[in-house]
Amino acid sequence: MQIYKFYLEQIKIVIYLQSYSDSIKIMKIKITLFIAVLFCQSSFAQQDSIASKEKLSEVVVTGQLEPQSIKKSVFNVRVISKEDIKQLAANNLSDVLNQYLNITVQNSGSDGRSTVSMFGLDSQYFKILVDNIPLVSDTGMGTNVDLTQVNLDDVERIEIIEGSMGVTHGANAVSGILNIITKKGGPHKWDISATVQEETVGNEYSLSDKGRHIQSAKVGHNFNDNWFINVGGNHNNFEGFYDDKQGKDYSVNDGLRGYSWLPKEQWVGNATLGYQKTNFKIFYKFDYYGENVDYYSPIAIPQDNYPFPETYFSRDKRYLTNRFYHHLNANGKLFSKLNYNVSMSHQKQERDAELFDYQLETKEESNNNRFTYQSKEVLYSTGTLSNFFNNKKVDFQLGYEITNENGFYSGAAGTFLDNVLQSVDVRKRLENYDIFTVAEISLSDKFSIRPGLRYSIQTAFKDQYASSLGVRYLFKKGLEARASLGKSYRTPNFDELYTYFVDSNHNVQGNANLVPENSTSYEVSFKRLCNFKSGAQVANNVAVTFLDVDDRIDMVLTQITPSKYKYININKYKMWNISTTEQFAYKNWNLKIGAALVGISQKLDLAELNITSDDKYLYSIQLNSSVSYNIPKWNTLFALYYKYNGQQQQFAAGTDGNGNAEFYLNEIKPYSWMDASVRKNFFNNQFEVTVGARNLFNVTDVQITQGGGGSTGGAHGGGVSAMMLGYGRSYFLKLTYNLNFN
Amino acid sequence: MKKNFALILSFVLLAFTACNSDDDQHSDVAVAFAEASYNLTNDATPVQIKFSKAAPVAGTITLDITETAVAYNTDYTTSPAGASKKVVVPFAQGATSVEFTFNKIKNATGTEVKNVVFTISGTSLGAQISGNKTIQLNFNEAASLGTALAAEVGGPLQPNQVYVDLSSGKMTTAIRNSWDLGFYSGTDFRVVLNSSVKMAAKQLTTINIDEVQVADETMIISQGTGIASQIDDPTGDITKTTIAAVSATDADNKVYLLYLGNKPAATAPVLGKEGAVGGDARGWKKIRVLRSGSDYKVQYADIAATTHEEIVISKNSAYNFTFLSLIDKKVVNVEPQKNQWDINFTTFTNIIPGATPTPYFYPDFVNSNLNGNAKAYQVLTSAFTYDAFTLANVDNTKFTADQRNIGSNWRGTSVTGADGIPVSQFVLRTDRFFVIKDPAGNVYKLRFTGGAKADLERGHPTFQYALLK
Repeated sequence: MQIYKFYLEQIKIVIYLQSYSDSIKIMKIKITLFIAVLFCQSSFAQQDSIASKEKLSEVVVTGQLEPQSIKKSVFNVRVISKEDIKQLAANNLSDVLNQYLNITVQNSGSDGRSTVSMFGLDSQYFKILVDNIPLVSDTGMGTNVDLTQVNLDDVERIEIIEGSMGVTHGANAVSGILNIITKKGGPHKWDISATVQEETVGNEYSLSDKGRHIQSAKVGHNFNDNWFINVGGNHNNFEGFYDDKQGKDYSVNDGLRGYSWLPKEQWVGNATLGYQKTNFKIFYKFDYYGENVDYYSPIAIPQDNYPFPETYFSRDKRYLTNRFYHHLNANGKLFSKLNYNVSMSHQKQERDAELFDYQLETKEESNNNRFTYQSKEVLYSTGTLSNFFNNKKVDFQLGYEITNENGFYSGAAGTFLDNVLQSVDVRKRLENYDIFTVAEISLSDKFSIRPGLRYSIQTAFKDQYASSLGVRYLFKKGLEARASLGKSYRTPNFDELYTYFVDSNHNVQGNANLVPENSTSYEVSFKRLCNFKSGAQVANNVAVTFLDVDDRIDMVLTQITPSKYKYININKYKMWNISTTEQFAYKNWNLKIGAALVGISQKLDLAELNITSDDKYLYSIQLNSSVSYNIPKWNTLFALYYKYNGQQQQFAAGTDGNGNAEFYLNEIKPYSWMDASVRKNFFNNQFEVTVGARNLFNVTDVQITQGGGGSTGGAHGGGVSAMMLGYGRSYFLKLTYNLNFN
Repeated sequence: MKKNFALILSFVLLAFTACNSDDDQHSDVAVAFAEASYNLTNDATPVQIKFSKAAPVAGTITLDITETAVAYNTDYTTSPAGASKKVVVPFAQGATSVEFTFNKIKNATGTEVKNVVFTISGTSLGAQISGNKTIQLNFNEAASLGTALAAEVGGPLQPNQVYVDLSSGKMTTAIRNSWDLGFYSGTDFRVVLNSSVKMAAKQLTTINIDEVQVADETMIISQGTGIASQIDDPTGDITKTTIAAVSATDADNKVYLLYLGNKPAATAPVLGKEGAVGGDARGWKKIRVLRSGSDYKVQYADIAATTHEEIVISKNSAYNFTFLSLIDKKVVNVEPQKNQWDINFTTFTNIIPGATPTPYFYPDFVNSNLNGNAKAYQVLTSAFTYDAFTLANVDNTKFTADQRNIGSNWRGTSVTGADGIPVSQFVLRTDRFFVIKDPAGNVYKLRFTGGAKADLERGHPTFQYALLK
């Protein structure tokens, strides 16, 4: 027990062993349900007018040769609409993704970040793009993005493709990709709006130092038919969640000082300038993001003041993040035939840490020391050329992607020490030069095949390649079938490559010879859209996915005496998932129901300790649904979102009473998310008022039962720990003023 | 209108004057004697009174005098002079401390108990009186009433062992890397290892010191490695050393293979970490210890050597041990006399109990002088506050025979952060203090007031203690 504690002090080896599960019995019932739902509709299906069809049909761009209707897409593209974002009063990505099937948002109380986890794989495996180019984060290019740092003010829609998308989106698109499509121009000559949003944080709220306060404004202007501009700004002040913590001025040394969720203040400014003419479009987008996260240490340090009583101070810190994003995109036709699309981007995100001493009696800061904690600067360009043939049956796309990343980790951001235990900074440049090609062959109106290949020349790793194959078939009566195979890879991160801590007591090393983890995903999906004479629409979607990630990197004991820990490619991960969504639209009702069953198998290998985890599939269930009802007479829309996350299980390594390594099954208790809102428009839609509640089930931490819950389990004696999920039931009020004129 | 104006004006003025009286910060200042007691050695002794912050105005401090077997003018005087058992000490504006002089005229003789106690009874600026409200000046040698000390263990590498004598407030420093073996001065013939550098000893089957030996890496004490039976019992029980009692029969005294552990690191580690064992290995030796009358005879050599050296070590009953450096081949001074220290700041090789007990190295350790009969126990502030704890609260049954009763209990190295992930940082445990009985029977309460500097550099322990009455 004590060894374990001291060990944690010295090296933060946090071994996350993840997998999820539920019982097989439920699985069987679900499969029956899926099948029933998919086929019960066919006899009622009838064609209807085009206007109503568009309700449930959208144009998508992600992974496409050119923008096309979601129906024609070979990939199974999921869309989060502007309506959803509005109805959830979402300010940033973490506000919407909690409702998405197969995604869990993970929050950290030590650095204030919220990241995505999909199919139990963390944010290093999931790529976030803005207008089709990856978004820089503290440590990644599209990956490891803090969801709260992605503002949704200027977003038109969000497209998500699950599965390995290495051919079109390169490295780290393992579990899926999320592409944010921003607004370009607007429907009027002037579109002006201003918003004020006040939220409680759980049951905590005050105008000055509790709750969440958001102000934003945006202007869209079309100068003429060719030129447009969008400008926006947003200020989001999250004052932190105290919970049982006592804030920053608490001076008792009992671990209660600080916040449960760190206070975070964010500023966003963006501008898009665009020009369009027949066969030519160009836009330049600039985006600034600034953030201030305050961390108040739970430790109050006494200052000896003999003969007087001690005074106290704390070693606190704040993280200051700045992100600058430039994106220039041009697309159009070359020689009035070839379609080209070229993007150039420079992005930089820098996270500074400012350490300071906070004197608890005087509430003054001193010894402020600001330094760059992590930074990433990227020069990026991607381009495609397509439409080589006059033949409509064959389309062919040729593309390139160049990434030049300059990453920096200060010695404080990881365990990077030299031989005399001095902390060293790590600065590395990673470059990759990729070419890819995709062909889309329409054998008939109904049948399309889409093979693809990418070759990536890497400066830091072995060259990588990815391949994909997609098939789409449109059956009669609106039934669409798709099958796809995709490959991708995850490149090792700085911790995995450069960690170094060697002294007489420890030997913990990163590994510069790691190879990227590689993934393969398979998906088969069916979709059906039925339109009824009554105007009702029903859309179903059933997808079965299999994902395999091999050579997963983990830190393991590679030598017992004396002990040596090293990152190596060792573990295996397999996941299969069956999911369905049903969508009904009738008159003023809109109903969506989804369900997913995920089975995850992980083979965790403890190397020299000579044990591996049971790689049986552990199942879990997720359900989501949303209902909205529009009352046109009142200009009012009611919406309710619900998501159920079933019990999840995962094997985690621990030690038994004799100090031997052992795997224990941890369980994460089930929990539910429910958000509800009412939106009403006044004065010819000039005023928009949204009132709602988030997290109606009042979820805060969810319990993780360790080692089967018995006292026999593990070094922690089968304890219970908690995972930060939410900060309890919160309420919001959002007021928007729109001014649109020509 | 004019009336209203006058009314408003008077409110404004009232507000201003109210503010002024808020600004009056006289009551923020606290005064206290710098020490609680002092044994007079010189004829003239300056006595210091401290201010918690600079005095906002000039003024005076009034001290009451309580005498024990002494009289003003006969045995002592003060400057400024006292009258009717009072001394008034003036101070200037901006003063952070003020002194008066105590002049001793007549020494104490024999077993005479003579002292003067000064008590701060008031100040001209209405300052708070906190901390040492009194000071006792002893004409005779008397146990300290308590003070605040900083043990110079030497920063994050903790190169020093610091022996503290509470009753005299004296600290003795030894370099922990300077010795290897301690030879017990009591009736038993026992040899202890230097636990502060992670030494281990393994008994060999041979009695021939000149037999060539090889290093045994299983003896190395590292993260989770090492063999618990190869180090001395961490309680400090002299009958449980890993090296068997030295027999009067030479043939019973086996050769031992010694792993000498590690030096402190050569350079300081990252701020906030400790580097007490980060240094080079100290190598291997073989030894054989024999009796030579009432002395020890030590045969020792490098493990590959076929010859050996010999040194005779005599017992000195004033000390617990006589210390030998095998590397420097000589006897070295480490501990003060056995009745002149109570606690020892040192690094320490402890044993983690369990199915397979394992040696484990601790920086920031505090041992009590068990062989000299100083013992300690811990009190949680949930049971008694430090200030309220008196001699009547002492539970003598808790003074157990374990030198580790303070141990590493006074500090932690991490606390649980907001989301359950430990924050790794030196943490002083402010929820506890310790009770220590010294070899002379004085009982002190002791609390730690720090272990790291403001910039988190470790290895700077500070503590306060007070004699229990």
